[in-house]
Amino acid sequence: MSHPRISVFAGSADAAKGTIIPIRTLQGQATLQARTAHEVAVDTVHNEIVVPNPFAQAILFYRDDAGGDEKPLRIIQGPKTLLGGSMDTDNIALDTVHDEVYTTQESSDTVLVFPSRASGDVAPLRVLHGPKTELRFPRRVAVDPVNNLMAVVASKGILFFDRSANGDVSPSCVIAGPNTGLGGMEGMGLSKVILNASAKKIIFGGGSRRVQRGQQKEKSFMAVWKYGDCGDVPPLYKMKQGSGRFDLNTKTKEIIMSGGNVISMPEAF
Amino acid sequence: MGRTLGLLTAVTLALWLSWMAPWIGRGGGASLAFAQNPGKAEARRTILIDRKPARHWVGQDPYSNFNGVALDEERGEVFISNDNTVTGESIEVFHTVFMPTDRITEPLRRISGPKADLGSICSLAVSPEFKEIFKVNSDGNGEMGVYPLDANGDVEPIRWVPTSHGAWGVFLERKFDELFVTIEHVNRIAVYGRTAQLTDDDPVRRYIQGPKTQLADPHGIFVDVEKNEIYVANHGHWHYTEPGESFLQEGSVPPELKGKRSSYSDVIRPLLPSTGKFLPPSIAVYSRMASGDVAPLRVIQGSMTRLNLPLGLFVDTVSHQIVVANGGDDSVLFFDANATGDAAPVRVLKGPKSGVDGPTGVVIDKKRQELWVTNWTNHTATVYSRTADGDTAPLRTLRSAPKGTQAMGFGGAGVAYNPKRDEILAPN
Repeated sequence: MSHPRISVFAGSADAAKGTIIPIRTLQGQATLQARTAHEVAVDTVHNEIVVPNPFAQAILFYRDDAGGDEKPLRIIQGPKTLLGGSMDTDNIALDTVHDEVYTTQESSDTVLVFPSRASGDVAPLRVLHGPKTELRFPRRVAVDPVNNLMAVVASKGILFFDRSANGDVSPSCVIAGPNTGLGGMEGMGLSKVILNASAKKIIFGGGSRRVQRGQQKEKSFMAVWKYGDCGDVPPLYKMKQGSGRFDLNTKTKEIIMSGGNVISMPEAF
Repeated sequence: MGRTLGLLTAVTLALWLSWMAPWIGRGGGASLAFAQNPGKAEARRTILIDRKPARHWVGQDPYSNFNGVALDEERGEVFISNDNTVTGESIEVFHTVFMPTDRITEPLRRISGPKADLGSICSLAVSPEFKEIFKVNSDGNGEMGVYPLDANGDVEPIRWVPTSHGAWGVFLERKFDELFVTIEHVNRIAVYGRTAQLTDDDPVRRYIQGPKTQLADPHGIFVDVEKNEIYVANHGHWHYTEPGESFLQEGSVPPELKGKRSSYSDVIRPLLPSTGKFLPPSIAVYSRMASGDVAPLRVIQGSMTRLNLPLGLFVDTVSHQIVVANGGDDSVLFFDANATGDAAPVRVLKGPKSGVDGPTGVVIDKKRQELWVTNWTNHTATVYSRTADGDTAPLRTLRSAPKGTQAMGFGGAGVAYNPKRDEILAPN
């Protein structure tokens, strides 16, 4: 955890078939990465990758084949951005249909949305913030530009908003409650939600909670709901071995975990 | 007839809307796409999936990644931290003198396990006088652990010292018996008495923090008691922090709210202008007794310095040079201890013969006139003459892996899949 970097591996890599080493790494002072980027996003329309830097309160954009000590193509950073906190900007989500980049801000209970082609000190296009939003410690955001939906993982559970929600707006729905395994998650560890637009599925990973020394740690899980599920609804599917750090391969219907596991999970697609 | 049909339609629509209302949403742009049948949801039985991974996109690195380093010169032992989660994070102890070999060297002792709770371990310090090891970790828990010098196995710490999430550097200043800790997230140096512990009301004796300090994502730290100075390596990722600010995670209660609110999340916190900016990497020097929002005495910073993600830092009090593990450039830089501004290093240890590869920690063995470097990327700790320069081969190399084995190079912090290039991207 000392060396800030992004390592790139072959998508079809299989450790059972031999030693795997990164195809390339993006690292060095010029990259402007901090070691706490907990997320990276891929823009397949503009062939870019997007990386947050929470310490410098910045969003960095690189070529999708960037390597070595390579500078970002552009940076969103500055007072107008409202990016804040010490760890807030460790997450991002992309809407490549509307060219927008989203980030949650856990210290200000906010979701910020920027034009993803912008550079420098740019004001957010939209700011989701205020008591009606019910956002408390929002950790991750997902966007579905096809079905105009936004999902935010926060202490309360998974909160849903219209994609273009702005200001102090109530969530249209919250998935939380004893049947969900979500909600009341004071001290929630890293958790993430992905909206699978074509299958209209909600895929959640995480759910562990920070505990005091000596307390039993709760384990992360993965769960799948369908669009329209709302309230204290049990998930369609649940898997014990979960992670708040995952992505989807929609072609192979696999879930790719940050620790190296690839789980075939057609139920999520 | 038309009016009757219209009335029926209106009544039906009203009834339908009334029935659907709880599930349509509570305003704020609610979408009909979200309407659902609650009866079905209540009747739903979750299907549990217990499935083995189809494959692993990255191999499990079975070798220790050498990170921080500290010495007990008198006993001739070197203490090295390993942050590899696959092997289990550990503190590994070796003899400082050994026959040169290309083979793996097994540690004399190894602290690791759930009781030890090392977290994402970074730097180490040792106290030969009080027979203690100190470790800080950047993630996993927010406390410094103190272990017996002779500990081996899954050993609980003698005591915990509350530091913070994001603690990277630790230095034990032996004359005044104080511990200096750097905190990445809140640009802070915190000073503790060596015997501070978790139950202390206010264990921090003093701190350096605030906009005047120029601390920006601080890492390695060293205190030269003869010169009465503190040296700190900064990556340059800066945002404003209030003097006294600590890093709070969800579930934490800030000191000002203790006893007043049950949690930090009871309040909607304000949205303020961003303060973040990138500064060039630097080495900042402060008075040993500096406290609060104080400017550094001098700063080494600029393109001539060749600083590139500087990590561990040590001051050779014989040559009066600052030794820097220059993590982003596979080099070790040496600066005059009095250098200031855009100063070039007085020498650079770098090159294929040197074996310097992702250096993280540096320490001088004054007794043996040797320089130790931990190389995270190639699973080695390399030992040189104290005055080594250029592309100098090490005198001997401590390996945790077969020669030439590279670390996997990621920390599991996140993952993204690029379907267009069929690539998996993993930030550290």
